[in-house]
Amino acid sequence: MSPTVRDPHDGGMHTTTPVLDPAHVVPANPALVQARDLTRVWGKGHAAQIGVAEVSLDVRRGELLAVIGPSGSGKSTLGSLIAGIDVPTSGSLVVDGTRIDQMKPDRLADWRGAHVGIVFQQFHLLPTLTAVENVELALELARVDAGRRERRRRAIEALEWVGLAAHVKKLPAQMSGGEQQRVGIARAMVTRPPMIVADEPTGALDQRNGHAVFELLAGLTSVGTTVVFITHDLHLAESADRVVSMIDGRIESVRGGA
Amino acid sequence: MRSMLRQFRRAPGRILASVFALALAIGAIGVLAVPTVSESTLHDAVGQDGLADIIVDTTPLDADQLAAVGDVSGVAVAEGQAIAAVELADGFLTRLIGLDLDHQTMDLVQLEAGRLPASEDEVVTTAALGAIGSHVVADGVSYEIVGHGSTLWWSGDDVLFAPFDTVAPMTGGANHLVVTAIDDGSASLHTLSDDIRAELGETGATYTTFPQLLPDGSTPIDDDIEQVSTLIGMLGIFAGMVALVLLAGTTNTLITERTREVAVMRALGGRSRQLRRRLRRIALGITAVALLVGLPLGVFISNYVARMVLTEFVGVTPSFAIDWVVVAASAIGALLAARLVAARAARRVTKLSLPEALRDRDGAPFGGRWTHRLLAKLPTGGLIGRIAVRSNARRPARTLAVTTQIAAAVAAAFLIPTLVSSVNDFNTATLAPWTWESVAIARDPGLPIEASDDHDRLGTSEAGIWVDGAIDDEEIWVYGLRTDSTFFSSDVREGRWYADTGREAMISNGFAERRDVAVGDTIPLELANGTVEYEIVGTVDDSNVAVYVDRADLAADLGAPGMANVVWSSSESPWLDVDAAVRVDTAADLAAEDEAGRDAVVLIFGAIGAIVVGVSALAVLSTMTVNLFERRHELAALQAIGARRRRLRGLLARELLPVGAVGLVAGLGLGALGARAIIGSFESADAIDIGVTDAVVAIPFIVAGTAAALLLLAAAVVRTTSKRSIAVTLRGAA
Repeated sequence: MSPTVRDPHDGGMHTTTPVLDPAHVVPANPALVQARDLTRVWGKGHAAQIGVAEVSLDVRRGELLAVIGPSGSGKSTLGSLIAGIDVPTSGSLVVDGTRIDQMKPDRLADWRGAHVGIVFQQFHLLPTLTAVENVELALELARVDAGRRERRRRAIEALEWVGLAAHVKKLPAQMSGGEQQRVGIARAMVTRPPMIVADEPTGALDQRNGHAVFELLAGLTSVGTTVVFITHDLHLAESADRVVSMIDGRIESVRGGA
Repeated sequence: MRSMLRQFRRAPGRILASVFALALAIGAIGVLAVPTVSESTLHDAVGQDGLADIIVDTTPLDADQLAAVGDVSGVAVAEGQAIAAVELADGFLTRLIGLDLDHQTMDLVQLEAGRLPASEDEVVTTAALGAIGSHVVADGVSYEIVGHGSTLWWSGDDVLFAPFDTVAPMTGGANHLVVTAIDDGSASLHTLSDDIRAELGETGATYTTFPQLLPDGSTPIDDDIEQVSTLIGMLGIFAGMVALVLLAGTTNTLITERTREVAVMRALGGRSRQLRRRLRRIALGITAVALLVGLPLGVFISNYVARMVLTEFVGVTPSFAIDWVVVAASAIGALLAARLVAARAARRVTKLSLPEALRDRDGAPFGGRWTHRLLAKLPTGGLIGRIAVRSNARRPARTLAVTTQIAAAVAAAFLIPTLVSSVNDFNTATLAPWTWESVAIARDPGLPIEASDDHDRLGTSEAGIWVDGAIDDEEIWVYGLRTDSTFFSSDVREGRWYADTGREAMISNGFAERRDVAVGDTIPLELANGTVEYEIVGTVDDSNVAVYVDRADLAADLGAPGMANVVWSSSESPWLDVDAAVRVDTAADLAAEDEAGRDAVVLIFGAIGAIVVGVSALAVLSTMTVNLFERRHELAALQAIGARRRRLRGLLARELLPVGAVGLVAGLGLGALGARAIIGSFESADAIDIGVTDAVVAIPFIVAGTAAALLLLAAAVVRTTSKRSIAVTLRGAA
């Protein structure tokens, strides 16, 4: 079960146009992600390096799925494939009814902008943009049908939701790691994607900040957003709906859920 | 060495790009060696050929008169040659040069093939006049070609070399005097020439042309070579400056991109001094490897350009030469510059606060400076536009470097056509006052004026005199014209046209201004047979270095009253009633000659310009490659959140185009200033009005070329970026 978190519609948020539209709340089934025999290999012959090998997995709508495993087990590779920032060597990957494993780069970019939010361990904010501009950029790239003012308003709302109302005009270099990661979460969810892939988002943070970030992400499932949470932290993973354990590029076990 | 190899294995592409960029930069400095390589080739030729110190045409001299010249104090050796103007079977006018092949010590014929003439019906000439074994007919007499070759003095001309006894009967004796002086300093040669003229005068002979003095082992085309060399040298300095910027930029980047690595080492206890030394070694190692490629490249460039210069302007094919001074200076300069830049960059890198350096992966945090914070508040366009503006401000040194590199390329691209159009306009301007369609030139003042004036049955004609002279040792063309000349009509800037009484003269305005000659002055005019005086009564706008006097006065001054040596005509094929060997040049011929000369200049400067533009383009490419490497995470993150390649291209284009615009404006300004500096130096050196014609027509092409190159660069950068998996790039950052 997801932990209890602050509802993104509450407390300081606009009530007229909430950041997370209830229209996005959909039943938990059928599966949002359907991965079949996914394999990702770099190099050839003896130098071949296997990221994931023949992984098949369904991710349900609105669930919080934790992916755990030791370093090199392939959990980040699996997250990258699901997020559409890497392409499988073989296998098929259907996300929200769209097969993405054979998409051309530009179409895949459009798809990412509209269908997935990504949270990185190293934040990857644009260093020359302020917090609010970073969030606004995601709206612009996703071609959200809104004017510049509306986009700005939504970006500020997202930052307020992650508790950064006072930091909207700060540059990444002027913020702590925890603050930057919260900007990263605001950037990932501001376009209201059906899925967020978070690749070790707490890895570079202390325990308190890590926990806060996890709670923010987990809270998104309450409005129907699917969250794929890749982590080393077994304690946090235990709070997920399901836990996928990986080793040597393969799924070792799937725990929790029906 | 092991450390270098490790660096290479770590990023072979970037290290190779840096080495190549530095090598090209060092190679470009090789342009500076062109003048020395050219001069050394010429001086080698002088040594082989035995070029004289004083060369002059005379009235026919017998053995006693030659002996008298040999006895003049200061003369080491005096030799006589016989030169006759002859007409070949196809109507080509050339010279048959009679040499004492068994005894001569000067003007030795350098054979390319065959042998020297052994009898009076054999000649040596150029391949253009016939194959060895074939015959050439001159003035109705057939000569067998037994060899191909020439002397330095006649290089580039298709003339015939024969034994002295073949030609002497035609000329009445030796009529071309060559002298080697004991002291070949400039002042001594002037005195010696005057002494020889005086000695000849006592024997009833005289100079018929202005004596050519070649002090200190110089050659007759030294002036031309020096002018071309000056231009090449200036462009070389330009190329060198661009090369230094490239060298500094590349070295700086090599150090800066190791910011985080150095921070980790500092965190682990590495001492700053030790780390700085390590960074300097990396930069110096890469520069040393670049020198191995760059120095031979520079030697090749200098020899290639020197070959073009000498082949086009002198007709001499130079041998391979190396300017060791430039080689050593390039090597020392490159190592010193790399050392200085590396030291500065290393100091900066090791002084960054550790937390900041460890946190920032790119070595260029944004937000630490007030300018960053100010820019973050300014709405400079949309979000992509803001990233573009702030990214340029984030790395000001790099932005400045790219701007400078673009400016250098643009300056070279504008300077070259400006020089060409200026030379072109100058050539046109020098011919503008002359309205003849053809000019018939006799070797000596051998055309009776009375028989030449108005005797062209196909048009009008006018006899005149055109000889070399000097005013205060500055060479000047001396024209003897009718006071009512219909073929020369230049505007009088100051004063009036000369009259046919009172020894009056007009002078070129550029020469008058730069040599402080004013209307009313009396000038000493040195002619072939002595110095005479004229009063300047007017200055003319003729873009020339010339003095204009009454032809009758000049004919008398030259010791040939009533005689002329040119006939200007209104028809292209003049039909003159004169019995003398003349060469006819049409205005079209001269225009074509000017065009050929201009083409040669375009070829040479175009090659150097291409080097400068190439070095600059490579510098921009190298800087952008490093820029791309540093920003790969940023670009990958943009792609991860949904940016198409078009967006990335747009971002880079918005970054590059403003920089390109500034570089373009600065480059055009620099190019215009450079052209003015170069032409100004020639104007003051030659006392001549050349004028600058900016190649405005080239500007749209330069603008379009710059924009296209930058857009292509942006496209190429994005293409390279998108080839790599976003996930892999982002993971590399972690």
